[in-house]
Amino acid sequence: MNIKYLVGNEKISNKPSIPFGSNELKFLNDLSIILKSDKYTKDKSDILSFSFWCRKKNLIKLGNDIINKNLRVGVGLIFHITPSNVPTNFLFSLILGLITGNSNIIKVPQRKFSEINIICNCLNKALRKNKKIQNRIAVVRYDDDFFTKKFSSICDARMIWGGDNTIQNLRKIETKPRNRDINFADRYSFVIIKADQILKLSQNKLVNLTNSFFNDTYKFDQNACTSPHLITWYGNRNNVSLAKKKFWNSLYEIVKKKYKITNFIANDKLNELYKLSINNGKLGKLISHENMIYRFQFDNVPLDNDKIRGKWGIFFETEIKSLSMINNFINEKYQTLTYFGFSKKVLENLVLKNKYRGIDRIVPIGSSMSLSLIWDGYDIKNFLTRNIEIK
Amino acid sequence: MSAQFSKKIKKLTNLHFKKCSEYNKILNTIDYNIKNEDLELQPFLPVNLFKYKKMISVPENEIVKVLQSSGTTGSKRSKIYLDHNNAVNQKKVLIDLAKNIFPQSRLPMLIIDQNPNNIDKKNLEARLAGIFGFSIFGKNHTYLLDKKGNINYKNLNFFYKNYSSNKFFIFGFTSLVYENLIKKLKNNYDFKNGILIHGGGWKKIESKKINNKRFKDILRKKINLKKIYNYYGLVEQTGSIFFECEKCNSFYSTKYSKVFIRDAKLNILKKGKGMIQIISSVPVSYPGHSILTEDIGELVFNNCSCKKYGNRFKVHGRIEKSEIRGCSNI
Repeated sequence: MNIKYLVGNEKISNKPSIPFGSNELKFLNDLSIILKSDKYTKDKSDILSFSFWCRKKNLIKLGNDIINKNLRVGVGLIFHITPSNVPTNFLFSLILGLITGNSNIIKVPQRKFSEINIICNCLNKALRKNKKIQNRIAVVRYDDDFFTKKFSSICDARMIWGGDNTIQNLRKIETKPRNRDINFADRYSFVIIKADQILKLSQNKLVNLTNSFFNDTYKFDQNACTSPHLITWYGNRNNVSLAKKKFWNSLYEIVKKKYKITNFIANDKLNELYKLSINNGKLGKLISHENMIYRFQFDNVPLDNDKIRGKWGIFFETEIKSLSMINNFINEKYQTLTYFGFSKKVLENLVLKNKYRGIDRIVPIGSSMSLSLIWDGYDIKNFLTRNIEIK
Repeated sequence: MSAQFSKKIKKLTNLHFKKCSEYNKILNTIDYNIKNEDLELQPFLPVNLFKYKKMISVPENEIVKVLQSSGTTGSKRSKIYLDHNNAVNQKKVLIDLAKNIFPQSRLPMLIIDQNPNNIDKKNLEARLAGIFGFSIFGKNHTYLLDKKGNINYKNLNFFYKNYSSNKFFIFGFTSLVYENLIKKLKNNYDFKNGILIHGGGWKKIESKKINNKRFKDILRKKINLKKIYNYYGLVEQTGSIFFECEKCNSFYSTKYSKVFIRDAKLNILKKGKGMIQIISSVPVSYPGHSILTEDIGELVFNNCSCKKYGNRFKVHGRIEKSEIRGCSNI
C-alpha cells in the first residue's frame, strides 16, 4: 500500500476560507506566472491555457457575482478523483476547489504523464512563496482503494471525474452524511451549423471557423466529452449540401496540415470505423476524405445515438429544417452544444421553450473546451461553498 | 501464379461477403466494389477486429475448432473459428511449406514448452496451436519444461542420449527458446544435428537487446545449433506462415500468401517501413484472408534465391501506440 505525495503532505486543513480570498488569488496568480515561464511548458498549449485562465484579474472577473455579495465560505476539504487519461484535468479541478475557499486532496492518474510532473513542480514553487496555502493542497498518486476510502471518510465534497463506472463505484464508498458529490459522468456533445451562414463566409473566415472546429475535435482525437460527434446542419436541402461541401473541404485541408495520422491511429481508426459498421446496420452512407475524415450520413438520428461515437475524426451528420427537430434525439447524456450561424437569443429561446433533459453548455464552435466556473451544468461556485443565512 | 492467387483472393472476398454478415456490413459501408479483381484493391480487416467480434462464414454448427491469440491478461484475445475444411487446409498448407526445411520422414521432436496435458483441443491458444501444428513433423515428442516451467533435465538427457546423433527437430516460441535454451540451459550439449523452428514475436526479448542475428550467434556458440528458422505468422492466418530464408534472413511469402506494406494513409508502399498487410488463401470459414496487422515491416528486393517463392519482407516490431487524450473513460 503505497501513496506518493507529489505536492503537500498528510497535514491537510479542513478549515474553510472565503471564496476568491486574497491569499488564494495571489497564489493562483503566482502559479500563472510560474506556469507561463517554466521551460517545460513551451509546447504544452493545454497547460498554457490554464496559466492564462488563473490570472488574478481573470478570476476576479469570474467571481464578480459572489465576491462580497453575501456571507459565504467554502465547504472545507474537497477530495478530487481525476480521470485516468487527461493529464491536465486535475489542475482545473484543483483551481475550482481552491478558489471557492477549500482545501484539496487531488488523486492523479497512475500513468506518469509528463504534464503532471511539470504542473506539480510549478505548484511546489508557487507554494514556497505562499505559506498560507501550504496546508490546503495535496496531490497524491496511489492504486489502492484503501486511500480512496480514507479520503472519502474525511472530506466535505468529492469532485468525481470519470466514466459512469467510476461514479457507481465511488458511490458505494462511505462518506460523511453531509458530503456532497459532483459527478462528471460520460457525456455526449454535438454541433448545429446554419448552412446559409456558411455560404456567406469569405475564404478567410471559413478557414478560421474550420480551424476552430479542428480544435474542438481533432486536437483531442474526439475524446474530450465536449467534442461534437453529431454534426447537425440547419437549412434547406440545397444550401445544406453546398455548405457541407464548403465546410468539409476546408476542414480536410486543415487536417492534412495539422493532424498527424500515425500508423497506430490509421489502424485503430479503421478498426473503429468497421466496428461502427458492424454494430449499427443503418448508419447511412459513408463519405471519406482519404482516411483523414469519415462522415456517416444519418437518414434519421437513432434514439441511442449518444452511444455512437467517433474517434480520430469520424463524424455523424444529420440535416434539420427547423430547430425543433432536435427534440427527437436530445437526452440527458447531451452536454455541450457548439454552434455557428445562430444568435444567442435564438438558442436561448430554443432551450427555454423545450426544457431539454440534456444540454448543459451552449458555446460557439471553437470554444468547446473553454474553461468556466460552470461545468457540466453545475454552478461550481455554489456547489463548493456554503451560503450562510443571517438576519 | 500471381494472377491465379489474385483470383482466389477475389473469390474469398466474394464468399465472405455473401456468407459473413459482419463482413457484408463492412463492405457495404465502404461501398466496396465486389467486382474488383486487383489484389491491391481487395479490402483488409484490422487485426483487432477479431478481438471484438465473432465473425464466421459457415453455419455455427460446422465450427469444429476455435483458435485464440495469446493475449496478455486483461487484454482481449482474437478468436478464430474453423470448420473442418479450414482446419484440414491449414495442416496441408503447413506441410507443403515445411518441405523446404524438413526431410520427408518425421524427426524426433524436442518441444521447448510444457506438456499441455488435458487441454481442450477445441479451444486452442496460439502457443498450443503452434505446437500441435508442428507436431506432425515430429515423433518421440519430448517436452523440455516441467509443470513449473523449469528445464526437465531427465527428459532432456533421455532425448539427447537417444536421438541427438541424428537429425532432430526443436520447436518453441521465440521467447521460451530464449528463456530456456539461451539463458537457463547448462552448456554441455551439442545440438549440431538440430533444426530449430521458432516464432511468436520478439516483443519480450527486444528490450534485452536480442535481435535475430544475436539470437542465432548465441545458440551457435553455446550449443552448436546452426539450423535455425524464425517464422512470422498470426493466429488469424494459421497455416500459411512466412518462413525465414536461410541465406538472406527475409521472410518470404509463397503461393498461399502475399504481403503488402501500407503507410498511415493506408496506401501501398513499395519502399520503406509501414504496416504489414498479410493475405492468405487459407481462411474460408472466417473472413481473415486479408488482414492489416499491427506490425511494422519493409519489403525486401535482393537477388537471393528465396525470391522464387514470393515477395519478401523484414519485420521491425510493433506499431507505437499513441497517448490517448481526452476526458472520456471509454
